[in-house]
Amino acid sequence: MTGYDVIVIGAGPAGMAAATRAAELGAHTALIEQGPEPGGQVYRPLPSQFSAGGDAHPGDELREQLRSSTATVLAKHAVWNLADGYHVDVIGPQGTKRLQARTLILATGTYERFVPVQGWTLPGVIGLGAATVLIKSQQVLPGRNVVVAGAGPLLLLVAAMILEAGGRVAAFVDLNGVTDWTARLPTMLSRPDLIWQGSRWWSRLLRAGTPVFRRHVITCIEGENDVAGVQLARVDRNWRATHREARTIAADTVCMGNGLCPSTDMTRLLKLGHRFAPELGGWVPEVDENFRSEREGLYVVGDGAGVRGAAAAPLSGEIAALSAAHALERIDRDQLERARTPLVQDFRRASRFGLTMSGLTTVRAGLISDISSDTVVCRCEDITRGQIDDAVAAGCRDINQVKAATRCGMGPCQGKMCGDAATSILASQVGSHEQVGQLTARPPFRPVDTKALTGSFDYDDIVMAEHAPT
Amino acid sequence: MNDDLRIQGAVFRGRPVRFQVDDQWIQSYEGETVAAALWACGIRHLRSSPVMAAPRGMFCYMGLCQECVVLIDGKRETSCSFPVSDGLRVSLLKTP
Ligand SMILES: Cc1cc2nc3c(=O)[nH]c(=O)nc-3n(C[C@H](O)[C@H](O)[C@H](O)COP(=O)(O)OP(=O)(O)OC[C@H]3O[C@@H](n4cnc5c(N)ncnc54)[C@H](O)[C@@H]3O)c2cc1C
Ligand code: FES
Repeated sequence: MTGYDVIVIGAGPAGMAAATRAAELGAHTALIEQGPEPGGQVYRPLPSQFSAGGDAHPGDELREQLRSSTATVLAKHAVWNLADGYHVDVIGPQGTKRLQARTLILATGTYERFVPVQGWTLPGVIGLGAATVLIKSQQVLPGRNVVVAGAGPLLLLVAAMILEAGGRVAAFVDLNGVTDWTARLPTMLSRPDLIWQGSRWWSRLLRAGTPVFRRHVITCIEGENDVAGVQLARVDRNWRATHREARTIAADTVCMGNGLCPSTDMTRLLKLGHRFAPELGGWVPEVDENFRSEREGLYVVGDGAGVRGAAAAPLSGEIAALSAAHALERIDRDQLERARTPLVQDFRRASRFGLTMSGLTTVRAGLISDISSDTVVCRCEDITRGQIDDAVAAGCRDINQVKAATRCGMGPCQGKMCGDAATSILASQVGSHEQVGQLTARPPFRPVDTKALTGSFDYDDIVMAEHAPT
Repeated sequence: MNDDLRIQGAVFRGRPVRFQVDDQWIQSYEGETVAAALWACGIRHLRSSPVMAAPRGMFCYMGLCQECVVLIDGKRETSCSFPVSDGLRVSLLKTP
């Protein structure tokens, strides 16, 4: 078993910054990432076999700093289990291995929130996040005639990316109205660069003559074995559908999403305290101003500690690394405070903007109550809303009781696609998210081939990404 | 949708490779994932759901939903994170 001072899990902006800083401060550090390269969701690089002809890629700077640090980067390695002490079980191309560290920094980011709608299981319907990765990293258009629907900043980003790449946006369907956006202008003014970017995307839509539906929702995605079109309705302030649009909008693809949820499978497994904070994306682990949890040596950074966006993420990673280096006696209190103060100021500014944006995606009650009883909620096990309602009628009051009664959340996605929706359906009937709780987390976090678990592998066999000579 | 959804002119892709999906040969490029290569040529119905046998395909594109699972050289794999290579044999998991 190989030991480190610090193990960072997840190489998005938060994890890259945390590992770089921890290594710079003299801690023996490893960064574990399941993807082929560091970058995370927002800075997902092109595949190494692709080349873009010169242009610097956003995220290159963070990647470069990481490369020139002494941190060991274990790419293509997924963490599938965690235990006290801290033991970190990883699976990579050569099989499984257990690593150990005094300090653990969790930087596993988020996943997308989906509010189920009739037809959302059809091939040709994908997440907004999926669309960004397909375009950015694989250079493939989601479709020729695409409906983009849901809430939040990714909506505008995806629509603009599709137009830029030569596709058509059949409809831009935003749950928010103009006033929901303008109410946020004062905070947005703190980032003129992003306002400028947003307005450029916006004028792209106008120039293309994209049909824009504000305060609208998809009520049904039509199609036999693939997407054929969508039906829309206007929503009220509570996001309940009111007037249905008469005509169906033809489309070959739908990109949908309702914001991001912090990924809490690891913090749930480690039994950290969590609180329900809709403005941060849902359930978040309790951490202090250094992103330190109640458990010694355990930190949670980036969007996984609450959705604050890509600018805030690396700052939280650095603050946690400083605090960890102090606890490991690599720096004294003076050095800690001197380095920390400017970071905290920048973090506060960046989070204000991020929180304002994620506030656009906080789910309102009408959207949940409008999910029809024959709509599939749990994709893995084909569980409908009606089956969840039946379980509630039979007396289920906790989300884990609903899981046991219906199998909702028991499939291979482990509730990552349906957990938020199922919990919201239950909470809307029982009273609150606090009353119904969260799904219990169980390893493995990622599906693991049982053959790999029984094989024996040597640590020296694990392929490691090399870092630059220093 | 049968035309190629690859965005042209923005990047240079990897070396061309060919792989097999059921009994059809697919043209692809190194660096692509199996799911993206299939999507680009309009193959989006990858499997059937377990209970209703309803059509399903790639959804999250981040390795979480498992909707893109197909058989690759005989093993169940998430095609959104599986890189293409020459001669791969992919079987879709559709129930007739
Ligand atoms: C699909 C998707 C697309 C997005 N696209 C954009 C965008 O285009 N623009 C934008 O501004 N924001 C985007 N966002 C929001 C953006 O992700 C965040 O603001 C930012 O990336 C947060 O950084 P992070 O470091 O906290 O997490 P992330 O960037 O999400 O990084 C987390 C990393 O942890 C890794 N990881 C997770 N679990 C494990 C495990 N068990 N083992 C090993 N590694 C693991 C993941 O592979 C990932 O690389 C997107 C979010 C999602 C979910
Ligand atoms: S598309 Fe969700 S796991 Fe591949």
